[in-house]
Amino acid sequence: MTDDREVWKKISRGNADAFDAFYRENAPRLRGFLRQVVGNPQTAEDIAQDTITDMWNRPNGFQPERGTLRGYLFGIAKKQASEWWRKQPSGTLAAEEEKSLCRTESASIMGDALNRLPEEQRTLLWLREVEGLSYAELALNLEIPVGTVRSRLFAAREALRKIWLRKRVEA
Amino acid sequence: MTCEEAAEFVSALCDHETIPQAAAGHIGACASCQSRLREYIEMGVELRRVASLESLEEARPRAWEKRQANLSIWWQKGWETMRIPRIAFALLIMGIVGLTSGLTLVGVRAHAHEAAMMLNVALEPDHVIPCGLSFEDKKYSDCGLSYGLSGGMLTYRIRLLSKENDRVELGIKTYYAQGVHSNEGANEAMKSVPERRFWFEPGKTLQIDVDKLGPITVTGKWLDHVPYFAEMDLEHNLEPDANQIRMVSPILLKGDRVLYDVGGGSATTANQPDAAFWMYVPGSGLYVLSLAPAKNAVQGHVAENRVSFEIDGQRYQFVTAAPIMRGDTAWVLHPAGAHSPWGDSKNPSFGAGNLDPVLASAEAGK
Repeated sequence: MTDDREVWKKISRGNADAFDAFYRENAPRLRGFLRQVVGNPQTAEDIAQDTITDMWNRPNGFQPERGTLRGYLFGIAKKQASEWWRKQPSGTLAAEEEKSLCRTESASIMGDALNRLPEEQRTLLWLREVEGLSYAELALNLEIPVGTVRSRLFAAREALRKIWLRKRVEA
Repeated sequence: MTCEEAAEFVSALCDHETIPQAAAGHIGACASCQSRLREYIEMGVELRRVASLESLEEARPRAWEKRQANLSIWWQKGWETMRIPRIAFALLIMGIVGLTSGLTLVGVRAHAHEAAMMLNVALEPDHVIPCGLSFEDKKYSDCGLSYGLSGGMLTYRIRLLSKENDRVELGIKTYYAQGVHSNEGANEAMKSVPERRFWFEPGKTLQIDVDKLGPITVTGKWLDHVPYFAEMDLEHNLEPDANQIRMVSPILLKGDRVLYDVGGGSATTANQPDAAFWMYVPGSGLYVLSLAPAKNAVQGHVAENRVSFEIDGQRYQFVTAAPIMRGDTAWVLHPAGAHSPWGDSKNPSFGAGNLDPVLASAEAGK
């Protein structure tokens, strides 16, 4: 496994090859995560590209002792996605369309169930279950105490379980 | 422990976290909790399968070139295309510079008044105890406590000695001994402990070696005052943790009569299932409030900032200034003849800890 510190040192010094390898490895996963958070594939792609570009142009802020480089990347993306949501007028057609688009595209019962969770719970579950971020990384990225991470993960799992079980019965 | 209480720990198990013994025991013997655990695991697998489908497309090729901020071109373009009188623009810039300077002065002035040093003393990885110290307010000239840790009791006292630029000089005494000890005993032992002096700078971590225990760490920052109830971080979070008891300025009522009004003091437990708060009232005895039932304990009803319970047909209430715990049930023990866990039976006292050590200390004080 490549040492995050080494990769970060290279990226900070402007090593384009090192950053390109990091980009190729992480961009598809980042896009998958953002699709879950914002719903629309094109918006997800745009935010993913902005996140990556920001990281390349302003390589600072990563603290290896506080988490992984991937966790840091997803943290930036999460903030940008939250910013995007904040800019959406609440209850507008655009925002609703984004959500419904996501729902119709989902190819599984789990995908459908996940889309019915609030954004915060979707984000938390995805970062934990799919990206494997630690409690400490989640606390850092979501700006909440570690103890709260545990209780919110429980709440998210319970919410998802109820929807998922109901949908399985319906199917 | 009930399934409802264990549910959060089932989730934690999924994340490879260790959980309290009581929860682990319950989950091991409960078919319903095991079923929930299997469903959580299955959900995780399904989520990763969905993710795998999402991540099929490769990243589109991109070239990576550093964007060079060219100030002169940006400035030149702006100057040439300016649509307001240039003199107005110049005045605007001067105004902004003037205002910024003013703000800087205000900032410096405010910093000069930051006479409170808010320290965080980390005794365990997940248990940090704040300590507010002030040069101006004498009641905050020092802080300290006794805390059950690793099968013993740690007592520490931190004193604010002097200030030099941004850093402060602290006088620190620590005493650790294995086994159950009264507060009086620990305080007596502290008298012969030499005070050590440390320079502490905000933003850095100070490590203090405690004989027979190991290191504890101190971090901190400057504030303009010592916050009320700093130990509970009420400024940011009114919500107690899942297994925490928070008693902010508690009052114990017997019927309509006040037995003990702490009057601004507060105590909080660690986030542990056997968390317990205790209050000792001379002439009335010891009251131990816990999350877990104890032998001879009566059940109490919790509603936001009060716990109601009955002992021998008499109605009691703990009333506090903030939410006490998450659940709506607590247990109250009023052991006959028990003394204060601190060993002082003449004065009212209160504190927080774990149920068994609190009861053992109360028993030892008899």
